Amino acid sequence: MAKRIALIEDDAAIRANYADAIKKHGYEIAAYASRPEASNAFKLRLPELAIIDIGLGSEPDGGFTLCRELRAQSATLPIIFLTARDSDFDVVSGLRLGADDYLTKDISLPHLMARIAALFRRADLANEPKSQEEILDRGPLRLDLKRFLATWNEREVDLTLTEFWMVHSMAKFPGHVKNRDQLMGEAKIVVDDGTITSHIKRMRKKFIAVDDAFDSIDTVYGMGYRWRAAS
Amino acid sequence: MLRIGLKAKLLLVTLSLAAIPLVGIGYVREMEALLIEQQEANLLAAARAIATALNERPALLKLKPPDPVLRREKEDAINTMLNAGATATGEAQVSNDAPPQTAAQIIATEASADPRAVSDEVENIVASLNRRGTRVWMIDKRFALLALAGTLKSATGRRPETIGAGGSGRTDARKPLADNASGPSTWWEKTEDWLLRPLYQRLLTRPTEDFDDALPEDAIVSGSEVTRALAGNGATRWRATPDNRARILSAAHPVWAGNEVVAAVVVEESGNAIASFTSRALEKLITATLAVFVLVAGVMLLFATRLAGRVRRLRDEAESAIDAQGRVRALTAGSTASDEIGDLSRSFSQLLERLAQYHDYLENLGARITHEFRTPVTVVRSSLDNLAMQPLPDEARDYMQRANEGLKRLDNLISRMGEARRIEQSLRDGERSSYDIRTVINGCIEGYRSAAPQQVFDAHIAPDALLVSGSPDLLAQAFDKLIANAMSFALPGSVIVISLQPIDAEAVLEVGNDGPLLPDGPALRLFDSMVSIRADDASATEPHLGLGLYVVRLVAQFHHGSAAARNRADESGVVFSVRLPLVV
Repeated sequence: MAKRIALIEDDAAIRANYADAIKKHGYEIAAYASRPEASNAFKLRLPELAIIDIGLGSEPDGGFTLCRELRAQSATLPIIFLTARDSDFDVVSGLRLGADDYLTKDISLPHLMARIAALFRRADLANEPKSQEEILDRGPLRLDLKRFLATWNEREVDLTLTEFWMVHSMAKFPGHVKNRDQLMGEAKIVVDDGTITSHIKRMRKKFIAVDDAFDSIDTVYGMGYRWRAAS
Repeated sequence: MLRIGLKAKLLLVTLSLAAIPLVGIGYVREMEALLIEQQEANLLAAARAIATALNERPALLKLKPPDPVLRREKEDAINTMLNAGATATGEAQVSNDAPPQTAAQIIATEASADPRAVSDEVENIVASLNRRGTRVWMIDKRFALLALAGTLKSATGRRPETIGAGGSGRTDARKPLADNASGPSTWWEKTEDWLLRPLYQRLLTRPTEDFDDALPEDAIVSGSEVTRALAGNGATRWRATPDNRARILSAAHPVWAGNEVVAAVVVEESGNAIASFTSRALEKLITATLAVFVLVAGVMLLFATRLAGRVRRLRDEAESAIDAQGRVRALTAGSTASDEIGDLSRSFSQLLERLAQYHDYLENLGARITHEFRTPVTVVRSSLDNLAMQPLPDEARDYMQRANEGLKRLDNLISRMGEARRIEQSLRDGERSSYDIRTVINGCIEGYRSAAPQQVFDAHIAPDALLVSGSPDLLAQAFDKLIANAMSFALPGSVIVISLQPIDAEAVLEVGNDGPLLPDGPALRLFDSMVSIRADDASATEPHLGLGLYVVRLVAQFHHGSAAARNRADESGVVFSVRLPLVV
């Protein structure tokens, strides 16, 4: 059975384009133009993944409200914010509401599809026994590449998909400097330098939340970032 | 232009108080005239009183018989005087209704007089009737002095402490009066003496007791009042002492025997009393005026200081109302005052509020434009992406390629527009730490060298750590902008010179390149938002919004530093510098 994806987007052209692309990738699509419309539909049936725009018609924060409702209905449902806004404040608000990822609309459709696939994989595998594992161990850091789970000293670090891919990009070759373009490529996003900086900042905070002494993400000014091999 | 402050202006206004003493001086002069008139009347009354006492007592006035030759001369003189008296102005006080006499009659009367000199009795009467400070003399018709009593001195009516010491009558009144036996008692008088006495001595002539009080012959013979009295009329006259140090008022009155004038009584008094009064009044007036002036000037000065202080506070606050991060603050100075300055403060606040609103609008405009652009760009991109999934003819692939390139440029533009705003935002969040600026700069230079191998970077970095307070990420971004700017202007094959040195407790970062010079003029606003002085270059692949150097300035200000640009001394190129205060 095809996975059902809900797309809530107020711009008709974007909605149609995204819906077409999603359909072409073999998913079932349910597209809504407004928050009440989507809310009503979700009361009858929950989708398996939701892509939500923050500003919905007359409700500038309608996406946030919808995310909160969905999260109340299901703790595991993957939610992606897709928005034209890119202020740090919006990113933080979106992620705090339990979204799995936060993307700006300049992401390309292939990148979006890769993300959707990854999120589905994570959701599927979370319920399955750990059969064939693909694990990256770097001292206290362990990355489960199938489930997109990151642990530090065996405590889970709640990374978004984007962040997971960035950590993976750096930790794969500790000590090697990854420049911003490389990080963006691996995280399948296109953002400007400032946004990468705030991504890195947020990732550091998340690791520090589980370990005060965390300092493995190293900024090499003018070049990029690297994973410092655990001492 | 000459700058006159509020204080100086108010003090100038205070000078208008100078009108007060002018009015006062006029008033004092009026008083003086009145007093002089009164003194004349009083003295004439005194003369009349003495004369009345001697009336009808010719025995007392027995005089020598006249010499015939003398008599002729006298007769002529008296006739002349009588004529003069008849043609006189008539202002002289007429005190009797005696019939006109001829010279012959007068001389006849005289002839009957006893040749004996003035009797002691006359002297006694005159002396007994005399007042203090007046001198009385009496002459007969032949101008012979019959009696003389009293002295002119020591009767000026001045306050005891201001009169020359003792009865010597020769005190030099020009000496400071503080020398007097009974000196000034209160602190005020002392101050007055010390401060103002020299001034008064310059400006005002104090009457002096040190005058020549001799009774000159011509005063007797040629005095108009004497001749008029001998002609039967009372009269007064002012004359100066022979040494010109004082003025003397004399009043003459005839002494009658029957219908004949037998003698004249002359009473004299110095004008010192009035002159002293006048000068005293003027002194008081000046003292009071000066005191009022000082007081008013002081009050004005206090008021002006306070006013100027308030205005200055308002100005300072208005000047700093927009801080380095572009935030606009309301004014607090005088905002509750109910006067014009309060109004000014409030309208300034209103103005600033509107400015802040406009500022917000502009800031959000960038965000809104970015946001509004993103949606159509997304439509285009998603359409192109969908199209790419279709089987397309090769020709269409070329167009797809071009459309994607155009889209990329548009994306670049949008993200640059958002960049300055995002930096402003992160500056506002204000996360700062102390870090060694060398680490950042060295790292960045390494990065540039690997990213642009064709460009030569000549770096001169200080050997010791340079700690500054701020955000290393932001500094790296600003340095990026400086390097990007230098690279875009540098002549091909030239060297970009980077130097980082501590100068005067500041870390000075300089990026220099060979290339076109900056235009002259003080209004160089390179570091302002949306200012670009690049020559228009249609072929440029990168859009230039004039935000790069603005970001540099913002970051420098976040580090409490500054950014500047200048041409090299040898005009080979330009140098952009950022100065950041070092953390001690």
